[in-house]
Amino acid sequence: MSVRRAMTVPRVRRVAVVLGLVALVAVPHVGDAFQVTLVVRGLVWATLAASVWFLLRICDLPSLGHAAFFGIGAYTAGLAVTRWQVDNVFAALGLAIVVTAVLSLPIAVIAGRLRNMQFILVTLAFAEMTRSLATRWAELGGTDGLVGVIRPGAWPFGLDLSDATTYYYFALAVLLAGVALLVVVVRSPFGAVLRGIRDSEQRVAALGYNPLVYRVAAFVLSAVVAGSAGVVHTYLNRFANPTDVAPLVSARALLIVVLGGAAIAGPVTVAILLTIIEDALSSHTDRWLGVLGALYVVVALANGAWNPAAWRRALVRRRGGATPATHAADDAPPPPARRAATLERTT
Amino acid sequence: MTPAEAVFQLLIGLSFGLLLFLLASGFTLTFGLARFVNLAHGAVFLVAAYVATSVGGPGWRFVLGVGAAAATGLVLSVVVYALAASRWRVIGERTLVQVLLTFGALLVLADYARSHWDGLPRSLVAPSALDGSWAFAGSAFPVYRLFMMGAALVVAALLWWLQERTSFGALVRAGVDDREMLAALGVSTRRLFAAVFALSGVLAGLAAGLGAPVLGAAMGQEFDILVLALVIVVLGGPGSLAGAFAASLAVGVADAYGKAFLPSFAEFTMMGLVIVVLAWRPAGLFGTAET
Repeated sequence: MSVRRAMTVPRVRRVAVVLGLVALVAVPHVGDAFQVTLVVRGLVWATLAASVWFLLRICDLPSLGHAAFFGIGAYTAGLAVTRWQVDNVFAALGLAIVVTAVLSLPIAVIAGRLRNMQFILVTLAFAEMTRSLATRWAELGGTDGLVGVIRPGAWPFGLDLSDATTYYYFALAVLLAGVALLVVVVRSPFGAVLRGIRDSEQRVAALGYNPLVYRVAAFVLSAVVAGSAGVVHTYLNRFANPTDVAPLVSARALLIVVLGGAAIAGPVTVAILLTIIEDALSSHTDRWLGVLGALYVVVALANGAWNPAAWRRALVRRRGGATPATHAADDAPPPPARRAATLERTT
Repeated sequence: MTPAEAVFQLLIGLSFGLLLFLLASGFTLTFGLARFVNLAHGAVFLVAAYVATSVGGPGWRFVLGVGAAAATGLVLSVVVYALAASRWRVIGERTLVQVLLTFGALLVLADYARSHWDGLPRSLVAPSALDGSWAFAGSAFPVYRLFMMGAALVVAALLWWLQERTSFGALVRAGVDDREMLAALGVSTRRLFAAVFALSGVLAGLAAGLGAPVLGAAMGQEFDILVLALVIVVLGGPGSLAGAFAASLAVGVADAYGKAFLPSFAEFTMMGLVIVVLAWRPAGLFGTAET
């Protein structure tokens, strides 16, 4: 039985991923303009969540400051068309990636030396300082932000991004490219070292790798993906403003990742669903921020119950599957070796 | 900048720094002792500040306002702890869940303040005896800021006495060092945590009340204040009151100089401070290496 399970679970997962992709590709053909735009918003969140997922699940670094990189990408995209006369979306994307990489480097060097709570606090503090800079720096438009942003051309492809459907596929392409990049990195030798550092930093260091260098590189990579999400966000809204850098953005991205579980498909799905739910919520009450906060509190309090990994173990136990009995019984996080194995399966 | 201006801004920065110490000391204690990240601390400050401006008034009613703010801080902080304590076995161990819980609480409290006080900034007038200002270096230094410095110093001294000279303080210090050992000795750590959360709420409330004539109460403070507290805790080293004190003064002065001389880029002075200190000592000024 356990052998059959081992064969069926990856197949179920593969089928789910294919179905999800088909659903995403089909959205512009079944939804109206408003719904398509709403899902684009979800795709932006999914890209941002994927970048946070990478840091949290592969490096065990919980970032509460990715709004900074999202915002840097968003403002660079805005500046590219309003000030720098860049009329190519790929050039703007490339520019945003370079700017995000350069600006995230000093933060990465500082934060890469910290763990756990101090990492959370420092990333949040840097993001808040970035936001406050955005509101005060006149060049960036202050609290109004950058307005009058137009969607640039898409040379060498003959695409018209001002068309909602075309823009939807552009956003989807950025998401898939970001996710593909992260998955390739996770499965590469570089990713193996990162996972090694997460599970036992001392052993990897003893093998001659410098953990700080690897963490900084992972941080910058994650920041770059977050910056790309910011680019799509700006051209979607046709403006960039300080709310794009708000701590709410960072917290929401982290919440999505916590809810989404270990595999990267989790945060992507949760991001899109949460965006749709939030939209429904905000059209019913103007106190939706409070409702959202209450939702966070409830999720946190229910967290003992919200444990997909434990459910899976329980399911396997009930079916008489061959789970190592020693670890199946308790709720404690699985030991490093098992965590790495779980990840291997899920990504 | 002339030397006189520099001294003027130094005093402004020190008075703000002392106020920040009240705010950050509670945060650093709950963080160092219970390993708990209380992001709701900024929102506790916000609501307490609004309460101070509503209850407080001219003359002796100013004291009433500060007292009400401290009581508000106490209640809200204990409520946050009670929520966490209801599932402490999970929440106490998982930082991410704490972040979710307290960020949610922050949003709920901020939303309450927004709807109850219409999202408008409010302020509290200082008692008339303290309302004047002294001519100093070509500018007017508000007398109230001096009072604020004095009051914050008194509270800081009380806190030092509590921490270093009472058995409660001994328990807290022991818990910061090794809470498992403390629990093994038969001390109820839950009760100790509750007391420290209450203390941290009172301190945040006092900071909000005493700061009301200078900072007022306004939406957005929940994050502005939170970030200052975070920077101070990280710079000073979690759980260290001496570290929080030194870092508070440094942050207050950096903030004052930044705002006075680089108005658009005030945050760079703060970022610079964080980068320099953490590059030099990753565990913070008075922090011990992370276990």
